[in-house]
Amino acid sequence: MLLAPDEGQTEIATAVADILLSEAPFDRLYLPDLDIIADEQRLMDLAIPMGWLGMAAPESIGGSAGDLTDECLLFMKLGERIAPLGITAGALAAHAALAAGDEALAAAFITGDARAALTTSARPGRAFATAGATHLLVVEENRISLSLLVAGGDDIVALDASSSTAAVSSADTLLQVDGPELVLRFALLVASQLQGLAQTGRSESNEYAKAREQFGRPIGSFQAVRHRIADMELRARQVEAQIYFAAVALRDGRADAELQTLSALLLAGDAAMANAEINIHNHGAIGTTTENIGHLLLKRTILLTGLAGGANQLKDRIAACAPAIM
Amino acid sequence: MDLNWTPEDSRFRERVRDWLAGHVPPEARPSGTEAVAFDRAWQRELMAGGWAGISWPKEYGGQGLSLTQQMIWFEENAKAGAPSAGVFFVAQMHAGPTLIVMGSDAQKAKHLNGILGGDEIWCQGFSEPGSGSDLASLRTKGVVDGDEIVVSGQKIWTSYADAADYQELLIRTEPGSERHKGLTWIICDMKTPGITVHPIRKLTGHAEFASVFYDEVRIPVSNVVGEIGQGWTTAMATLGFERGTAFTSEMVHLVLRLEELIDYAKANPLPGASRPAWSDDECRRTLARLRADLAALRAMNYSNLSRYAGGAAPGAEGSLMKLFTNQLAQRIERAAIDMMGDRLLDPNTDEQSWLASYYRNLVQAIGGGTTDIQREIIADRVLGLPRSR
Ligand SMILES: Cc1cc2nc3c(=O)[nH]c(=O)nc-3n(C[C@H](O)[C@H](O)[C@H](O)COP(=O)(O)OP(=O)(O)OC[C@H]3O[C@@H](n4cnc5c(N)ncnc54)[C@H](O)[C@@H]3O)c2cc1C
Repeated sequence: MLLAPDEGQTEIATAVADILLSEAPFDRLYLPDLDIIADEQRLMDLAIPMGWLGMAAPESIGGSAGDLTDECLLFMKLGERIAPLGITAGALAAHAALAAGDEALAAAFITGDARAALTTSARPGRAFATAGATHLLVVEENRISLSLLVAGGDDIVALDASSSTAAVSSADTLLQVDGPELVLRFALLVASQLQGLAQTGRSESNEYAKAREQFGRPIGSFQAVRHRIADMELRARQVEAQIYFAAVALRDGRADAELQTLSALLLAGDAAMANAEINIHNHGAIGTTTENIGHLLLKRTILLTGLAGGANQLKDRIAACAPAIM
Repeated sequence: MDLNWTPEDSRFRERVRDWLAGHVPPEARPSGTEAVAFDRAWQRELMAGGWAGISWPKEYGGQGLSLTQQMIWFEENAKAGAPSAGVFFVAQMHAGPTLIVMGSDAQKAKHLNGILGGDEIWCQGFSEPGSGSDLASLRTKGVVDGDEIVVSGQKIWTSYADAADYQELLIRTEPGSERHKGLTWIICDMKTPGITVHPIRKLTGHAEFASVFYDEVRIPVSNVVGEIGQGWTTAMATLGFERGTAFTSEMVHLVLRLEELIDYAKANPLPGASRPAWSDDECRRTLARLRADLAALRAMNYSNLSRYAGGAAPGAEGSLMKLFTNQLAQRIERAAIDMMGDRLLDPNTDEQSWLASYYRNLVQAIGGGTTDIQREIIADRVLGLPRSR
């Protein structure tokens, strides 16, 4: 039993975090004349040569042959920095194409020759990460399918700077993969990014609480503030551990994989949302502006939880699962 | 990462399971004075079976098990409904380990076997009327007089003080000293003249803790564990001793308890309703959310243990675990109470056991450092925030 990143995994996660810190610093988003869609494309062009879209794909199609735990660790780091959703869409599209036996197409998603936008049954007709996309990945309750992207309009920016989006119309399905496995993988990659968002909310608050002074003391010395941040830390750690558990359960085909994965997604959505709200509160007025990352943590959370299905739906599915294997 | 056990650990689990199946007493732990005999019988059973001192090193008569095997032990015990340490808790989990780390050879020789064999009950005399969360403000006084220390003052909330043979007693031996300095950790024989124990009844109905008064109680200096004036060091020496395995039993208990509650919800209506509680959206979703939280509690437990097994030093994760566990336990019990409503009013119903554990969990969130104090520790030691005090 080992439910923590090993040395190699920690090294990779740190390297990814460092790259994102220098290539995708939050303060770039505060520029008044920032072109969000161009920025999204720039980060996609960074992610593709890094191999991030093929982290858990086999080497035969240009992947890095990591497993689901490697992939989750990567997406936690991507979530922390609000990285483009095209990475999620592309990585999943590669898994889907591979599962359907189309190795060439799978490889194309990893090299960036094909690029995927994403839509889910929660909101058919509206796709995300559409800027520069060639294909559309459709996630339904028990099926993932891939078609060519037929955009019904120009790319615009959803929820401020959270993602490019466009209306899409249906097109002929190129391939489809039935069954829960890939859909649960999608759930877990979303949960991982939500964990990253919760982590950033906690860290932003923690730094600010040390630096900002009122009444002649750092606000982090006031218990109302410290205790809120302690709770943010607990949420981030709960979800982190649950994602590891779920990733192993899903990778190994454990009988409780669905329960574990949906639990991770439910808790991750709640943690990201709570931490985003509290982080704004912890920053006072600056937290309510677009000159602080707080609003984007919230908006990306709303986008991801919306795509993944509502909390009540998740709870009903968890209720329908058999108890965890003890 | 993986969730598989090594063949050796799996065989160990089998062995634990088999042994427990043949030895766990069928009857529940009695309350009141009979509890002591029950706990002692179980401790002797463990000793005879070669299971005493699960987390103690072999050279002191313990089992010297790996962290993973300790965790497996606690998991299987909880699943089998095996008794907990009960009145032997302080002796097994705190006093023994403290003596192992800080005690003299004579102290070890005198007490360790007795603790393992269920002969010695210990209690912990730390808290005072004026010193709870702020333990370092304690004032019970010890004056060195030749080869004795003369103790005067009062302790409170001392669990099982009336049953205990010995007490780990924390006193102030340097007059005028403040906070963590000038304290001494001493072994106090509870039969020493000058000690009076006044039991206090909890809201659970049990008088399991007490006020302890000391009127010029003379204790040999040779009973000091560690150095005179260095009692804080001794008190902190065993903080990380179990490195998180202790949370395992509580976690498994809560998982089993929630599944029991889910079965209850499928079989019984909400107060004033006719369909099973499970068909009520709010009730079912509350229970589903708790299921998810319990999954995370278990994952955190495994995750912490993996890090310790990999050589990481135990830090303040214990505070995160205690905060989470206490809160989750309270939410589960509260969900039960809400679901059972007026059925709790009849003293003869099975539902009474839920009321008892609801009370117990409220009490638990105070002992061992309140949830507020756990948040303080997280803020200080995990987050590195400027101190509030
Ligand atoms: C069931 C049970 C068994 C116990 N067994 C033992 C035992 O065997 N031996 C022993 O020595 N002690 C024992 N205790 C005592 C226990 O350790 C103390 O009750 C606990 O540390 C709290 O101290 P207090 O009761 O004095 O509360 P106080 O410290 O007075 O706290 C009162 C309230 O103030 C809050 N508070 C206090 N300080 C702060 C702060 N800095 N920041 C924010 N909030 C704060 C607390 O959270 C609490 O809500 C036991 C207690 C219980 C309930």
